[in-house]
Amino acid sequence: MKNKLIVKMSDFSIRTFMKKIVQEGLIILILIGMIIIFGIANSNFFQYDNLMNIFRQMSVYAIMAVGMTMVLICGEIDLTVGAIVALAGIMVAYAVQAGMNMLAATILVMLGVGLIGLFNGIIVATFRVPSMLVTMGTMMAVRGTGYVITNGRSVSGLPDWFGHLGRNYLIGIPIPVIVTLIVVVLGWFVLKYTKYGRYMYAVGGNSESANLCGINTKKVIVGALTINTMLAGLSGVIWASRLNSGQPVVGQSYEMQVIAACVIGGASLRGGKGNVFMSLVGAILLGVLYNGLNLLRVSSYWQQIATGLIIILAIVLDSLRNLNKA
Amino acid sequence: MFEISGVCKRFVGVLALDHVDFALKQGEIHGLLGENGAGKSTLMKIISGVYTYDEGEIRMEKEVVQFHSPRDALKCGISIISQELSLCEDLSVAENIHMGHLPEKAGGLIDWTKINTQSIEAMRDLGMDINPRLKVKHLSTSQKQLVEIAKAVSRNCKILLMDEPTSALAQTEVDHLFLKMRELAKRGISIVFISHKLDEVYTVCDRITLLRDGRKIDTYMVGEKTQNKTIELMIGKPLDEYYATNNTGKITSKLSTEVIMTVKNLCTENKLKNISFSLHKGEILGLYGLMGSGRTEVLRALYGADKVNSMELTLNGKQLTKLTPAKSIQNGIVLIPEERKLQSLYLELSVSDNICIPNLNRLCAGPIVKSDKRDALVDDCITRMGVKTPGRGIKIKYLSGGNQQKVIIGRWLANQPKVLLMDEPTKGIDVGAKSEIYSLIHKFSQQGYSVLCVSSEISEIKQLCDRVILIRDGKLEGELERSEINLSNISEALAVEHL
Repeated sequence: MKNKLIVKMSDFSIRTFMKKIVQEGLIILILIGMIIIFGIANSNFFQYDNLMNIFRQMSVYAIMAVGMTMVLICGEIDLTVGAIVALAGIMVAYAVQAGMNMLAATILVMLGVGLIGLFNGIIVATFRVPSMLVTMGTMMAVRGTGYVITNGRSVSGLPDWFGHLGRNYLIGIPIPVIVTLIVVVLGWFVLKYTKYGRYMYAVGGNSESANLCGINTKKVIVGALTINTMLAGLSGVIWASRLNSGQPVVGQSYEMQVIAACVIGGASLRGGKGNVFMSLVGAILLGVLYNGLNLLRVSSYWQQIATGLIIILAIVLDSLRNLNKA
Repeated sequence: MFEISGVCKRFVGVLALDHVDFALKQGEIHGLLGENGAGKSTLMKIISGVYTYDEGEIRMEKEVVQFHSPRDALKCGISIISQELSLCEDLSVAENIHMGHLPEKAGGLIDWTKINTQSIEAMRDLGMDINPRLKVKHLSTSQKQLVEIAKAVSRNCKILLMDEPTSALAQTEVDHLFLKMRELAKRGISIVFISHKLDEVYTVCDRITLLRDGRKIDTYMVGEKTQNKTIELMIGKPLDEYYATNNTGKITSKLSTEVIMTVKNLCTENKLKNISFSLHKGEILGLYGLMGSGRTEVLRALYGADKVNSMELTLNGKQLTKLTPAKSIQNGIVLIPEERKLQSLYLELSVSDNICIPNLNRLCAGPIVKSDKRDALVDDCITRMGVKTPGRGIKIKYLSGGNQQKVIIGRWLANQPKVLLMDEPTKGIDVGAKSEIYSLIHKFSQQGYSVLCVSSEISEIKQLCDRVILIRDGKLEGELERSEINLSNISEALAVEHL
């Protein structure tokens, strides 16, 4: 008798599967559409160098998107990452000047900026304040720190091998892309197969429930924010390597791009949802967009307007997805 | 005067209302009955404009009306008192009563004197005497409920919908309310009254409409059918058959005298005062009280989810201190909260995730979750609890309330808990699933688990519990053995002293 009320279960799996395909597939379709349109508009688009350029360019965003996806899954947000990219670039430049090799310098920088993430996490978790506001404050402080340390100038005069990480290839693929793929796969593994990854979904999905399940929600949030800044630090090192200098001005509004990429990829600003592979697709989509606009010689000022509109679009998209919550 | 015909409402996975007809006469008090999950609240939310409906039509005075929001319903003169209080805690009583229709002086300025005098009158009508400037957060739950009623009544409505308006009220307050309702009815206002307390419905209503599993079963005058016959219609089975299938031989209580848990002097900042009781091994102990009496607070305090001023808790002879949910779980105490959507479920995650998340520690080798162990645990839980789901991977939001609740109860059993704290375990669950959950709880107690169960339905307490302790305003007022559980004993124990 009661089964009549419940729509046949077999209808469900098909329906929900279709829904998933439509939502995720839609983004991929849009990406393919964009590629085709830009390709037609400018035949240079499909040249190997250009494509590699796109991937190299967006690898910095993609690495940050992995960390940001985790933060969003926890139900938080982190606006510090753009400023971290700048600070990390400065720090790695100084470390190399002081005689460290690239690997040691990178690790040192990642740990160093990780402390900033730890700070963010502790403030958010202890005082239960919105992460958006805390990280906004930290962002300004970090950005200012970059200027203070360098007196507003770039840190250059670095050895040639400094640019190896950001500019060179390994088996024909730009090194930053390889790093990105490794980070994405690790991120996917942590989220899907480790305890801490599953706890992130729980804390973001229903923090009250997570608390009653005995999960240490504070630890989870602190962990996610720390990992995120460490990944932002890695991106900053790669970026500095590309520029062959550490600069306090870089990374402006990277955090917005990264958040947009994650939301386009299906992560929700409300928490509990997110997938690093789809965030990667979101980052690629943005990379293709900007590259396409560049090839069409659209000025960067117009590109900034486009960025703003895309961010709004992504947020509205996220809200629409959540409208039909059971 | 007001008619609904053929209304259907679908939520994901559930047909909440199936072609329901409902007609309301002017000046009548019409009771709406049905078990948890029958569709009563859904119907009320449709009439008051909170929900839209998928099929059917609503007519007011023979004219078809469409409500797109609560505002539309209000304009038509329909006022609702919801089950969950919807007051603004930081605003005054007067502002809450006049929410949405603050009286204005010429020029659009708020007339504060009028607001306060009108509020005093409105409250006096209901037998209350509270300073209208007092912020609502300082009121007791029963006072809040009366303010909610005053708010609805003050709107000069034509139709008043009351969804469980007496859940926090003591008997004298209920009597006063019924007087007021009869007065309103005489003035031509129609009232729809939902209550799961059958006695109340039979006292104050003229007619009754009965819902079951989303369908209207019958509408009849109160005198036409006995209370027992009404219960039979509500549950869809003859009474003796119902009790037989739900009586799993717990009558002769082989009640263990072994005490498994004692609580002494439990005090919290805002509510609980010196709560002390013991729980025996294999016992199902009920905790009964009105809404706002502190029932949930007791469970949360025992679980370590809330701060307490003092508490002596012993489990199996060992004193437990500095409790947190994590520690309680380790010690073998688990909590099944009242609001599963807000406090238990991860709606966007799969059934498998919902089962595993509190159990990840035992499923991991180091930080990595072993998928074979995980799948084994999930399958075991699904079979043991009889969860109806097309698969482990489906998002839990698509399951029915009863199956969701089974998942939540089941996920804790893997821990082999000693004590299960259950807060309204059958809230929002349809009849069939309810009896399944009762059998499961009986089975647990036979297996040696001890259960402390909060419930606001006397029939549920009678069915489930070996013993019940009664709470009012944060204090324990008495204890009843199973045979003594009935409405009059409970009312007596919880009687309000002042008059």
